[in-house]
Amino acid sequence: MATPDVQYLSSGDTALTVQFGTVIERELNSRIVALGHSIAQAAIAGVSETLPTYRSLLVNYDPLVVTRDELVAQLQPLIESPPEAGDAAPAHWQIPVCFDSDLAPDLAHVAAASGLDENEVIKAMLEVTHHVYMLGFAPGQPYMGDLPPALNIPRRENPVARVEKGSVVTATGLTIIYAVPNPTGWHVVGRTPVEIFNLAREEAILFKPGDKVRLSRIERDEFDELTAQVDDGSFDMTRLRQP
Amino acid sequence: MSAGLEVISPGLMTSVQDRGRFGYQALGISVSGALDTDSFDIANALVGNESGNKVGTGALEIRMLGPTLKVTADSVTVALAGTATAIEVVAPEREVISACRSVTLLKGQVFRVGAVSDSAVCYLAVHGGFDLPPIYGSQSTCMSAGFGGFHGRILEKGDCLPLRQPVSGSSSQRILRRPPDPDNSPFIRVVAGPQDDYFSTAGIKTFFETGYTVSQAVNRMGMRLEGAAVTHEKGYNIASDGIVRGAIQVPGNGLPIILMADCQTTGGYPKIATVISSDMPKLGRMMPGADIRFKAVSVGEAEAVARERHERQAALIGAIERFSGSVEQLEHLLMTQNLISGVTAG
Repeated sequence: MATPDVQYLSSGDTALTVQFGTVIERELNSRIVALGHSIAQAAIAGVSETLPTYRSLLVNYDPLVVTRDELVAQLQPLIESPPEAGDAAPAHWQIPVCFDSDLAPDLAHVAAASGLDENEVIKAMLEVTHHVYMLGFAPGQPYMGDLPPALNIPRRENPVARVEKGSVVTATGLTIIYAVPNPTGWHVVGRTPVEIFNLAREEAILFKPGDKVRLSRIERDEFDELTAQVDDGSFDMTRLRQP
Repeated sequence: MSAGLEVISPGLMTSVQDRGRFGYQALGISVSGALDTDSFDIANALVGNESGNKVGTGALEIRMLGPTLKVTADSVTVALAGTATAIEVVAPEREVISACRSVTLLKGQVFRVGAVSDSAVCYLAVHGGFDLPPIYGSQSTCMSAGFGGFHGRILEKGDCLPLRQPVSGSSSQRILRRPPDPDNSPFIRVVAGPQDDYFSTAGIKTFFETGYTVSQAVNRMGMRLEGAAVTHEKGYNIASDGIVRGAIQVPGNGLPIILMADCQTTGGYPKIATVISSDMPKLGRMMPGADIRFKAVSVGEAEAVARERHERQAALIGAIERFSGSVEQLEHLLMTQNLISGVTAG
């Protein structure tokens, strides 16, 4: 891949948005995640942390230690050099999801908006190997894609005030699993009993950017059983990992 | 119940905050932390807490109306900063302790911080800090995700905040005789971007040339402004990207929202400008109804301001003096500065 044509956008005096493009694209995203690793390894004085998103890397820094111009000069060679492998290889996950109507209140709307029927929507979501583009908005919350073009439907006009944790939501051809209860502007099409964020767990956060996620369909009785296991701490997290 | 401070009345919205939770934004973890880090640092310095590390020592962030607390430890040294409001000891005997000085309170004493009218936030620090587990390296309360601080939430009646040092070893007190004058000007300096190209020329002009008012909808996540709508040119949806504290996003209705300490890590609205780091404490102090005028500066100017602020803050903390703690010596100290008599205005 050719050296991407990046833009350095100022996010105030403490962060730089290194923008690789304006579209959501896996290879671009992988470059961004890799640049985050390169910056961490380079240990640039004053850089406190980086935050990869779909198409840009937010680089946070202390302006008392490094100025914007000095930082850009140190980032440029890292961007031009070939991407390094990350800290860890991407993990593969299989996440159980129940699509019963009370857990999927917007499935009918998504079907209507996409021109598919409800079973076709579910089938499409099950067939995709999702790529975790980024974690954001809430702890460990994955933004994943890509669904087939038919499911590239707009977000809600009016957000809803609260969806439960574990809600599987979609819009614009992407999928999110909610980490904690929050408002949403997306469409709720299912729910997983799995807690993707739980501080009581050794690995509080399940996913990392670059991971691959498949959804698997479970029926209501299994959803209820797994929910009970999650609640009493007996749920076997290792069953989520795919070889 | 471990020894510390028992919450008799929690105040409006009192939470434990330090300087923030750094290094985990890539996981979706918000930074959180004190809204007014300048006053937070002064409060901690007044009780002798080291400020050597980036995270600092957790203190109580008080919003509008403070808590009433009972000392259940043997003793505790506390100080209030960021306001001219005093600490009132209400039991067993009444006493008034001005802000910006430390005081050691004994087991059984009940004290409160009443209505705060000169700032949206102020800070009550305790010597040694609270004995609360750091989560991702910080004691800051992240209310949106429900962790950190005291059980991930604002204080409630009956809570008992445990102290790391349930006996105050200090025999002397500290005072900052000349607290910084509050900056009541409406000007907030911003660096344009990162998505100022999403707005029309008229929209940019509106943003910089008309005034805004802080609405009632202000909390630790964000501050909604009232005023003229800013017009977009390229729509109001972007592929979500990273957000910093101080980012000013403009949703579809054109009314700017300034993102504050507890803001989410990523967002999908274009950001017209970003408040410079040096003006974030001032912004954090602004109350609903306050006027705001945005002033554009370059990154270079913002960096120079950051260096000046750092030196000013270091000088302020360096000006904190020790005294024996006696009323006589305190009065003498204050008289020499003419702060009590009000003869000079500095």
